[in-house]
Amino acid sequence: MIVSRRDFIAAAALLLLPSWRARASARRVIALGGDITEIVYALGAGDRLVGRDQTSTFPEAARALPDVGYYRNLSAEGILSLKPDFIIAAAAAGPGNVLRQIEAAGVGIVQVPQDYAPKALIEKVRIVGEALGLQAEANALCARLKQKFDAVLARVAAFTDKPKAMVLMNGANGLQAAGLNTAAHAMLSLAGAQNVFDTYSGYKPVSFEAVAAAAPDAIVMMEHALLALGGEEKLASHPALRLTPALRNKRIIAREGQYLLGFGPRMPEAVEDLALALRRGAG
Amino acid sequence: MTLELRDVSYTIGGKTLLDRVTIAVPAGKITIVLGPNGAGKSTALGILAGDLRPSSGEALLYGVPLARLGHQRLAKRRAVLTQSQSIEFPLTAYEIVALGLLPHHWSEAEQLQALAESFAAADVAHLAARSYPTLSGGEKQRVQLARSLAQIWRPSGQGARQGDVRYLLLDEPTASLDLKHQVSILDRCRDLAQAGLGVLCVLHDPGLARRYANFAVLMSRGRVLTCGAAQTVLRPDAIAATFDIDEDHARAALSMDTGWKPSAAP
Amino acid sequence: MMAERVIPHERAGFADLACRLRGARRTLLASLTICLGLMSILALTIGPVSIPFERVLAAVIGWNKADQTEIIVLSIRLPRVVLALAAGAVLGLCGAALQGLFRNPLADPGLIGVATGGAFMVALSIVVMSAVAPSLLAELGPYALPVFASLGSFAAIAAVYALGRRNGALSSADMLLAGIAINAMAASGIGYLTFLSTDEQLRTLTFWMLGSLSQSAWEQILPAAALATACSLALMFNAHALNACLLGEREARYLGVDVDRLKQRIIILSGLGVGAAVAVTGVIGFIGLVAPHIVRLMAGADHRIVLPGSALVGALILLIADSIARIAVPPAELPIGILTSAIGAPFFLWLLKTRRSAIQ
Repeated sequence: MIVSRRDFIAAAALLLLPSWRARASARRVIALGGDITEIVYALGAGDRLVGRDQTSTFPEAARALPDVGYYRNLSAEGILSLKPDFIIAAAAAGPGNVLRQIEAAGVGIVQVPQDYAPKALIEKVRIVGEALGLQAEANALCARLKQKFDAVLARVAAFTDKPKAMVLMNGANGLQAAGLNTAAHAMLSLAGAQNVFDTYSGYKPVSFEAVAAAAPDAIVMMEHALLALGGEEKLASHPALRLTPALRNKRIIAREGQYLLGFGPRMPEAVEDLALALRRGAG
Repeated sequence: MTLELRDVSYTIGGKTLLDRVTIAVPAGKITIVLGPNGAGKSTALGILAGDLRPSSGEALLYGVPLARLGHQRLAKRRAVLTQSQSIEFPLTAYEIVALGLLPHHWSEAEQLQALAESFAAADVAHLAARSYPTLSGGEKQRVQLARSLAQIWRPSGQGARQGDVRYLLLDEPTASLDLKHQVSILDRCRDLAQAGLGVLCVLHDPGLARRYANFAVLMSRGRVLTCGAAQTVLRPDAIAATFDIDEDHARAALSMDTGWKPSAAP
Repeated sequence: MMAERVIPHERAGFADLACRLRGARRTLLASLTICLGLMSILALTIGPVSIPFERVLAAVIGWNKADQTEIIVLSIRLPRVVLALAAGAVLGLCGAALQGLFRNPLADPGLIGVATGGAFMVALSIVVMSAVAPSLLAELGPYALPVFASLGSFAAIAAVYALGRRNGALSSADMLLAGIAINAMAASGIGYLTFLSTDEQLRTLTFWMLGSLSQSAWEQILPAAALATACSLALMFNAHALNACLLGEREARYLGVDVDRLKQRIIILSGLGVGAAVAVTGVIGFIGLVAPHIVRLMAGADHRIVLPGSALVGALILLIADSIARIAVPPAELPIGILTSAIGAPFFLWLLKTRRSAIQ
């Protein structure tokens, strides 16, 4: 988005203004977006949630909440039937029509921008905290997160090597590899690794041969993608892949998608986890 | 007042199906077209009906080219009974016959009269409420005849008004009919001709032709071999030449006395 | 001429038959209209948020968008009902018209490539445009998907029309083949775009292709519904011509019907109407196939009943499916295309087995 953070916060504040006074009594909240839900729980406000979207799978308690569907294809009446006081939604939630219908029905929506940097996470926490009226808790969480980031990033900087890695996920048919301007690329950079697929933006379908040709030191995969593929054995059995450093040193790192790429409060742990796994094969 | 083809040729896809054919369908007479397969009979009928456009020559009604008259006006003056239609939808016989009234704007009472007369003439009144796809082949053909009759119906008293000659073109209507109904269709044609309509019928049975035709046209390989009054045209030698058979068989086909006698009983 | 042969009571018999057929038509249309009215009211009343009937009535009459219940009824439920009526009607009607025109009981608006053409352009906008021309998408805002879908549908119709010309006339066989070709090309295009798509794009596209009545607001629904309804009304004037076509194209021409013009009209009206509906609802199948058969089972194949009947039955099916979609898995919603297929497919199989609406 080509809107500066400050503008956005100003706009969000304007949105919040009418219902600001009701904040303290605004008990019923719906969170749309896996990272948003995680932040709400991290701020201790999980008991205020009355609904969540399909991608909100962490923590476990969230799964018990009513599921309003995929956050990009919402429908208004279902959400309204949960009688929310307001909604905290990831920026990509939609469609716009449905959000407008919900607002017209008197339920405010706070949209949280999403970006691929530690600062973005801090911002998200701040915005969610403001929306919930939990600024103190938000500040505390931000401070904790900053501390953890500083520690992790220092540790990463201390490593002398820069392993060549890639992040693979499931596309419609077959694997896709993450290029520039993706959450995956950002995570690799933070973990002090070199993304071998840095010539394009976004995701591209990739074949096993292309993976082998890149000779990665480590391969990061989404957990469910690896499962769908048939596990590490399937990769190991491929003639070209078998010879790559990643397969020889058994550096296949499988992680759950929301944890690794959700940029939620677990991000510092995820970066450290990744940085270590890339170098020690703690796959 | 004739429906006619004048020196018509018809070529399609490089093949010449008709070669300088002249056929006239005079009012008040039955004209029968005979010939073997591939003679071009159906093509000639298609051009007479206004469906196909001649490559050269003219197709005329009252001296006006059919193309200029247009489908709407033609539909009020002539009906065509083609060989078979497969209708896969559950229409009743009544609805099918009622389609014949489409080109006209009769009043409600006139429409009912037209339908009643057409159903009676084709002897299918008892089938009116039946679903068409469930009828036998012969019954379907007679229902289609009723539809054609409805299309060229006029209220009684308007009969053969000056200039309002109507035409009925039939393409092998006797196929899939049993003898009784073959005869009855041609009897209807005779009635229509006597009432002043021009009737053209494509047949493959020279015997039937001989009994009903006023005029006959013999065709083979896209050409008219002979045409004229039935008695002069429908003779064994002409039939033999048209169908490429010997004269004895031609005579038998025409249901003429061949001099054959059953062998004496032992 | 043949007047002497007719006995007065025979004519009365036909008058009777004509009356009965006409009466059956009127009764069926009246009953369907009443059912549709009741179902529309029901659809306004049921939903994940429970609103008592009196308040629904008050909201519709007062047309005040003051409190939440009124907004739910007027801004959320009512647009869906209007869309279901308009889209269901045009889908049913086009199915009936195409079945009559092509004399094929299996014809369906999808045959002429309208839905797949629209889907291809939507896939293009979701997968490619967001990277290539994001400013265009941002400017179009909520109109982006409908505009792209319409472009795709109309392009498909134009292609079918152009490819179907043979010797200056429209050939039914060629149009059907063109439709098959366009469906295949669009499908492979969509396949390639899904290959390129990310997880999120794929999910967005899939949801669009499964169909939904809830993703649009009044601003998109009103123009689409208006266009679809205009096309529906125009199509209904072709009942007599389509009846004649049932005999065969040649026989229809012998009866004075301008078959070529008829084909043009029906193809263009179907393309515009279904395109308008698909642009806003996504791909909803089976209604165009199944609604005409239901009407024929009840009242025969005369298009004077099949055309309006298919519109009413199509609207009814879509309304029922939408209502189920909303209350089946609260607070989420089932995509409506799943429901129409789930209802339509078994019904269609049953039809094939009994073959009551087909041949014998």
